[in-house]
Amino acid sequence: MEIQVSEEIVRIVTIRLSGRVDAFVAQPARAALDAEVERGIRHFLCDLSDVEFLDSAGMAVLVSLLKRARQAGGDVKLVLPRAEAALRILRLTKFDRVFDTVDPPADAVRSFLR
Amino acid sequence: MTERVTLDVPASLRHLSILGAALQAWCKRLAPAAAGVAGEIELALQEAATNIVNHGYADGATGRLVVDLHVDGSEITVILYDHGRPFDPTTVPEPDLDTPREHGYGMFLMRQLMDDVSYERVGDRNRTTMRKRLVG
Repeated sequence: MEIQVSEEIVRIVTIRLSGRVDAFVAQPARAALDAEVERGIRHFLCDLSDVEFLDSAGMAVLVSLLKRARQAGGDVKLVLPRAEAALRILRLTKFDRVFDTVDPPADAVRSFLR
Repeated sequence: MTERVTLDVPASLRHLSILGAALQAWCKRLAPAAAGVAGEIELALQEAATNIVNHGYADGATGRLVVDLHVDGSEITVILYDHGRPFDPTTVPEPDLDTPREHGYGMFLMRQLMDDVSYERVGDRNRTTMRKRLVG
């Protein structure tokens, strides 16, 4: 008899952003997320629920993370912002369709395993 | 109603949130129609101002960014003045929304959010003008 047991652990890192995500904070935010990619994280849940304002520089940070994660075989899923001032740019640029979105955040784990 | 408010801040990314906060406060007490579009104008202003800081003052030069907020009847006009290098945001090509990329959305957003966007080099300074009609 032969028994083969395998186990796969999917590591998902949750990034919670809040407040104003704009050109001023884009550089430190990018550096923090790049550090996560560098340490081998490929699956990200970005919870934007409490983001109050998002501009194109802030959005570029998310797009950069998405590119790097997908290149590594992973993905980035978003919990969309509640505030219209943050949601507006995602709709106008259609990035709300480029990213997979999950709601509530607890659904994210299941969505990564699909 | 005709009214003008002038804001004057250092041309740095750190100070741009002051513009958005002041614009919001002004619009909210101006008229319900202005309050309703304050968020759209704030994002357009943020994009225009970021362009100026990142492109006009890209060489690390310091300067001021002056923003005139003007209401005349049923139209709000936002005019940004700076002494940075000439940078005409209206020449930036429209992004292909089917091919996502990191940069190049500033002017697209300004056009989407406002009714008119124009740029002029006047003497030694740049003037970016954005207009928004108020409905209701």
